Amino acid sequence: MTGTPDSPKEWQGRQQPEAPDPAGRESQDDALPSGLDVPRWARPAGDPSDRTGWRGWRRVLRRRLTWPLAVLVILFAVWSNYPFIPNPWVALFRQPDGDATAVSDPGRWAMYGADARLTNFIPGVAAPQGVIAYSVEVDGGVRSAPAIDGPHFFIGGQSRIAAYLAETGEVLWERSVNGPVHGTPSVAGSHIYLGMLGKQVLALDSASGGIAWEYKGDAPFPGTVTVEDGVVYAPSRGGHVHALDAETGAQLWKVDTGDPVVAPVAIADGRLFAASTSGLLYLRHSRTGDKRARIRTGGALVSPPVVDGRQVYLLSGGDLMAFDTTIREMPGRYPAELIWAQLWLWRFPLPPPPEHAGLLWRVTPGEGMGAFAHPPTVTPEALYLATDEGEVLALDREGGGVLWRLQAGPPIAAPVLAAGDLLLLPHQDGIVRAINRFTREEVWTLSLGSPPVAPLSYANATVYAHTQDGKLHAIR
Amino acid sequence: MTSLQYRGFLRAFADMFRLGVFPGAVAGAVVGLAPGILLILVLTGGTYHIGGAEVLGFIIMCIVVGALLGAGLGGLCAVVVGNVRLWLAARGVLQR
Repeated sequence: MTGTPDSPKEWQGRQQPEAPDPAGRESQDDALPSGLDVPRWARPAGDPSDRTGWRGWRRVLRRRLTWPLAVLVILFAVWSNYPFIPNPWVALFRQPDGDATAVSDPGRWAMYGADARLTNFIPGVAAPQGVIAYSVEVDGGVRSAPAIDGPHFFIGGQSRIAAYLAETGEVLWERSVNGPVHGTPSVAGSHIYLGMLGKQVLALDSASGGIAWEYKGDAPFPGTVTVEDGVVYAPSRGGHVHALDAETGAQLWKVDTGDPVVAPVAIADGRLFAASTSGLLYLRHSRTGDKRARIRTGGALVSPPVVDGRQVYLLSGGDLMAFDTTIREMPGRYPAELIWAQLWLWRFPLPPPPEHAGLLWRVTPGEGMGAFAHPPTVTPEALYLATDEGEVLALDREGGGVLWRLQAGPPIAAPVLAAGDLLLLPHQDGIVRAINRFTREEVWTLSLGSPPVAPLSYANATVYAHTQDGKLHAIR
Repeated sequence: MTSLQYRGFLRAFADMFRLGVFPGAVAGAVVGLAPGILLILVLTGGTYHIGGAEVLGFIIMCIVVGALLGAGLGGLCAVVVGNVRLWLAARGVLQR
């Protein structure tokens, strides 16, 4: 039997007679016999071979730490691709200084689509009567709609932005900027925020037009920026979404979307929704930019996503799709689905790849109705959409069923605006039609003489329409 | 079955299982390479907006999952083979 004895008794039984010291010295009591495998209990303290010494501790540490460290490394690698908790660095050390948010109310139209959900709906407001109060010359060739902040409104033009008195249309101030302003300015707090084709995001003081800050990006910012909880979200044609501090313009984070994002991003319940022209909808954590999910829709996404509670609506290939906003991408699912789809295309004996992750329902307009041309307008009772053949549809929010449809006339030029009980339809022949959204009766029609080039805006019982001839009409 | 027999059974099972773990893990890792290679093939055919880190992560994930599954399957196979050999040996078909 070999090996180290485990007890003092066993050890004594195997103790060898002590060999005489060749130098004639008497062996010390505490000296260990050389060449013997000394058991742990018999070793003096500090012996290098003792497991309680440094080497032993190192072995114990190695044994106890190897697996936890390996698990941590694996978790970090998974998290870096599929984050299950928000990025702590951004969450802790890159916080916005304020909480400015672009929110519309009856006296304020704060941004494109009314709010960060882009619902295009203002509830409980006084209905305009369909009379042009005034028309002012603004620049043609840009698709900027006015943002309204109480007694003032702001609209972009060719290399300029101007503030007007909402009551009379008089110019309050005007400022030259670098390049055309195509998007709707966003108003939050005391600032106006603009995405510029000249690769800048600008924050202007709404009272004076002075530049509060300027952020320089690496690609044009094609339009409206979204402001929510002190963060300005600016999509760019360079395939990024930039998150900036609304107070200082400092970059909080920037995410890669591959292809350009030309439509405004939507924010709801701590989630960011960005639609790219490659057909991917990106769901991100709005505070830190961490990935939540990617959805391939198949068609280029040029309309903005619209959020309604736990659903996000998206126009893709002329269809309306509703996705669950709470989905989270499982690690490896996206590449696995790519492989699956490719093998299926190569006619491998596989079932068809699964439907889009999180898809709740999909609506295709009927025969002869054309394709959905503008993002839906979300009201408590229904979704309202127009097709490029001039049909207006009311859809059930839960399942997408058609509640009613109406041939409203020529094709619709911009998204339907829901203000109070009215649905306002801007037609491509320059006519704005108002119908009651509950009775479907026409309330008034008004000819502007030129088709609208930008979405309608509403505040203080006034609808604003920017038309192709370079005029802005205030309709009361 | 007594406790001692049970322990013996477990020890024999573990010994046999251990024999198959490493070869199974190696085989599983090799098989796990296949989805990674397929992904690279797919990505060369179009624009899918997957970053290099994600591709690398997917390949490593496939290899690790393949190795883990392979280790388990390899161990189970070794247990089956070992028991069959014992059974045959007990009947004199094979020499122990």
